[in-house]
Amino acid sequence: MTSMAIGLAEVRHEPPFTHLFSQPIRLGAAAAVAALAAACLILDWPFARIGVFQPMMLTLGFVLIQYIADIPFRGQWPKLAVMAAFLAAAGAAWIAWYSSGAWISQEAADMAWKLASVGLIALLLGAGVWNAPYKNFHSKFASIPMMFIVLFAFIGCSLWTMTYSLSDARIYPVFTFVGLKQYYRLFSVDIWEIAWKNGLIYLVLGTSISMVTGFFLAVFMDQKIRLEGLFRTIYLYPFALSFIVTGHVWAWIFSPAYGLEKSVRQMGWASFSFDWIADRNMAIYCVVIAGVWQGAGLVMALMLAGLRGIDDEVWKASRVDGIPKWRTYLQIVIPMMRPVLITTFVIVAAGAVRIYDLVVALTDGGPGVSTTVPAQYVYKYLFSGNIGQGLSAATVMLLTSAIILIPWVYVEFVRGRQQR
Amino acid sequence: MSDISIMEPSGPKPKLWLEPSRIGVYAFLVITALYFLFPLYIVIITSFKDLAAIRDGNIFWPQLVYPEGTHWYDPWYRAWFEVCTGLECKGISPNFWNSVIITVPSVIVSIAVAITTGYALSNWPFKFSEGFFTILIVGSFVPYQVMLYPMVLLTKNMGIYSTLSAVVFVHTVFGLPILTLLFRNYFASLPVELFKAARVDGAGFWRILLQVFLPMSLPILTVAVILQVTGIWNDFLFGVVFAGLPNYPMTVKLNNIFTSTFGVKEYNVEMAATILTGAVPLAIYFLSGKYFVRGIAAGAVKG
Repeated sequence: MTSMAIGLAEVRHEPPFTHLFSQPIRLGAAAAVAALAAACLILDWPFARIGVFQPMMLTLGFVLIQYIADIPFRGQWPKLAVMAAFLAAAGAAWIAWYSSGAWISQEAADMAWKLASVGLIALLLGAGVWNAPYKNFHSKFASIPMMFIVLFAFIGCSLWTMTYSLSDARIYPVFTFVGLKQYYRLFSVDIWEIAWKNGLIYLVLGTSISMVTGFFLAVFMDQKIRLEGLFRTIYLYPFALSFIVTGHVWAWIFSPAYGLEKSVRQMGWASFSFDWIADRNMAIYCVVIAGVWQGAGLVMALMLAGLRGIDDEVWKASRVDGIPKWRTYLQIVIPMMRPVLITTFVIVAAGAVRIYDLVVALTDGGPGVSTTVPAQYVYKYLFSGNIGQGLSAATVMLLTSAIILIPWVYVEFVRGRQQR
Repeated sequence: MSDISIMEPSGPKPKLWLEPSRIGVYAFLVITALYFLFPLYIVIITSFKDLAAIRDGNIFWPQLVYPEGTHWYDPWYRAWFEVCTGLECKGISPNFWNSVIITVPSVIVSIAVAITTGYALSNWPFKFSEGFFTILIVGSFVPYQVMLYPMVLLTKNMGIYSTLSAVVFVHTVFGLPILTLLFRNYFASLPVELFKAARVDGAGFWRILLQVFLPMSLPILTVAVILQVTGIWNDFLFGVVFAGLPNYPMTVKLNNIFTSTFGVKEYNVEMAATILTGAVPLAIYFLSGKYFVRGIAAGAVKG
């Protein structure tokens, strides 16, 4: 056993459990149970009669017991008893569920689960109170919600979506393997072609225009100007608004019958034309305009923080050398700001991939289906009885964001850690 | 240039309000500021017009004269108390309260979870804790649509789908990454001697959190509350999927007002409802000033 990071107390009793099973065996058992939990999650979760959530929680609980409470109890019996009860309850839940209640009634399994979970909580608490200075128990205990969210919400749900995108699930999420059929279908549907092209337009244009605008705003804001606070407030306030609000506001301005076009014509410029929102080919650019309006302030704030982080000595040096300002920005400051630029790009681009509310409010996919975006496609199929199709589109969205995220994760987490 | 270099004369630099060389800078800033302010201006004046003024008038000019018997605040009154979606004509006010009821517990629960997690991660690291944290952060960039349907199933299995608890749960899940990052970085920036002194004095995990760190984290708590209140108030997707019809938040209602077309479309009322929906986050934003900026910058700039 490894000792705790901040170890004050000596180990008072040799932990009995670690004597029963050696470290590799316990790790192996934990890995096996984790695999079981994953299998449960991927294959069976949705068809639960008594709620597969419960056996899932049980198996997770078992893993967590292994992991969190590396419990050096004063006696091994309380722990083993709870573990046994726990596994019995898990077994009961699984049997009840597989037999649809024929062998073990679902109520009984439900009750077993409840008792076992009470036991689990009692055990965890008991272990913590009893052996507080050991093994960083409280920290792990406090992190249970985070572990749960990481394991089940982020990893589990993504895996589930990817798995079921290979199924023929329609109204009910039932797994019948059909291979890549949903993907073949996806890429033969016209709406999806419109959707991914729009998504790409929004991703490329929205992100690049936001980045450039935001960067210029930040540079101009960094010129020791007066009323900086006022300008920053103005640039950033759209970011505090909901996409729904932004969308409806801009829909009003773009509206040819009431908005900009009519008013400019009324003021005397009779040939003025601005009806992009009613134009199938141009409507997506309206979405880009509204998106940039909302997002540029964020980029500005992040970039400004980055610019302020540049040492004044750099500026002095470049000034002494007589380098013009624009070249200092281009060749010295921007390279120095690379981490900020990358992170900002990831934030903005990840937001652009998931764009949904703005389009719903601004055009609702119209005119016709010309501004449909991938998220809308996913939503439409998920909740209208073609789950597999929706999930395959969601998986494509996941892959798109992975293309953006993986280089960033590499730079930020993997390489950054090696350098430290 | 940002600083006076050594070669230049010392002493305070004479400052004109507008030095000639800087007109360009200010011109750029003012023009962009106008672009940013323009929609707000349009929406506000539209919300105070009557329908005739909208039909015949110009979106740039406010309406100054109102016909006999009508008031400038009529559209706002209708938006708050009377506007219809389908057959229901109660205005947007019930949904305002729904949003409040959703926001308050979501903010409290998500921050309570995040502050403990952030504290555990920064001061009591354990095996794989960094790994969990990395996945958490990366996971927050994954599109919500990927996790949407499994989350529906999860909440259904928990028996809370289509209730208030489901929305609180979902907001806690998806708010956790950024909040944890916020608190983790903040606690890591506190002097480690503080933590060590408390340990030597015999304080444990929870006591240090509650009696030493929590009282010190007021600034970051403010940031977190602002971040979460605006974020949750502005949410649409989770509201429409998880809240269930009686609990629809304001954003969902607003969208329904626009899409349900019965009779004459009242553009002024719609715009008033739009401003009402945006009012809470906007008020928070204008009042909180630098805290808001700090909140959004927390994700990108390592503290």
